[in-house]
Amino acid sequence: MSPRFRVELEGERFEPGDAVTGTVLVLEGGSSRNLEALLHYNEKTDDYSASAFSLTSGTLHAGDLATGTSFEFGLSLPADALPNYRSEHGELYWELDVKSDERGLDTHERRRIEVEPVQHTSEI
Amino acid sequence: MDNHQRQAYICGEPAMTNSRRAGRSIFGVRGVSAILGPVVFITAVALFAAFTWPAWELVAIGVLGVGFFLVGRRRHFLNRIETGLTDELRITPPTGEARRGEKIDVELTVVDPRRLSDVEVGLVCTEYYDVEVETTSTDSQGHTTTSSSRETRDAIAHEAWVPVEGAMGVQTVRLSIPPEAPFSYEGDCLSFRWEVVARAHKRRRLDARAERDLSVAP
Repeated sequence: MSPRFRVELEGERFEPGDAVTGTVLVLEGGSSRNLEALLHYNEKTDDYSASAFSLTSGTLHAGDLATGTSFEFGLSLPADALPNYRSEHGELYWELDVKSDERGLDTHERRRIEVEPVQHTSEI
Repeated sequence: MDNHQRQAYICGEPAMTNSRRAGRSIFGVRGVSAILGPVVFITAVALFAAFTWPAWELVAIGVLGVGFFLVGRRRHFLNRIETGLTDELRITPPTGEARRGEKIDVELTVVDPRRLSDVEVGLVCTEYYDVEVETTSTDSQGHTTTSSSRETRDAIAHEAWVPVEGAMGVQTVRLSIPPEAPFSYEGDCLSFRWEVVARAHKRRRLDARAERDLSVAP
């Protein structure tokens, strides 16, 4: 049986260099080999998608997951992280992905996060 | 995540601007032909005047010279059609990286104002995005086959133009990058490419155009 999670994030909007921290709550336990949190910078059009950049928390927990347990995680956005952007034909966005590595299909709990550009006022 | 690495990317194609301009050298085939033609012709006339060569030799050399000249012009003309770039205008973006929400100073050089009108300098951001395209074909026996392929399309994500004087010389034009515009990005299925562009109508000719890549940071 696959586990089921809920992700609680501390904050919704971030800037480059910020720490993205939160907790993974295991709502339903199940078989798992490894639990980790990842941050992806994704690009998406109507027909295609790709992950341009990823970083991982490393292993939060190894082995089966028990109902009611929770795991804290922390990931730092790169100092030069690009912001989210939506255009007429596509989208660039950051996404938190809590992933349970399992035999067969992995379980994912994904959550988009808003990364805004650093404000600059200088002229060139 | 380095924007500088993305700067030259043009959605699977090599950066065209430099290679286009490389073909425009006066030392290239077209330049040699265009220069060699008149030189041969003038030399022949000078020799004729000096030594009073027989007329048929002068005609032969003259035809040869005109031939060189026409070949040079034809290649030059075809190159202009292919690239859309011309010699009358030059554009120089600021060095370094621009940012959204900033104003940038672009240097425009009008090299040859003859026949030019409605000169403009602009900022253009092009969005390149991949789509899946389905193609249906029917063979001679009436069997229908549908196949899909990946195709990169482009659309203007932002453009703004400023009219400028068409006088010969160098002038500086200030342009604004809107804060809500895209930033330079080279991706797998989505990209944004910024260019500074100068353009002008040219009487009884193809329009004049010059363009240079610009890197725009968030």
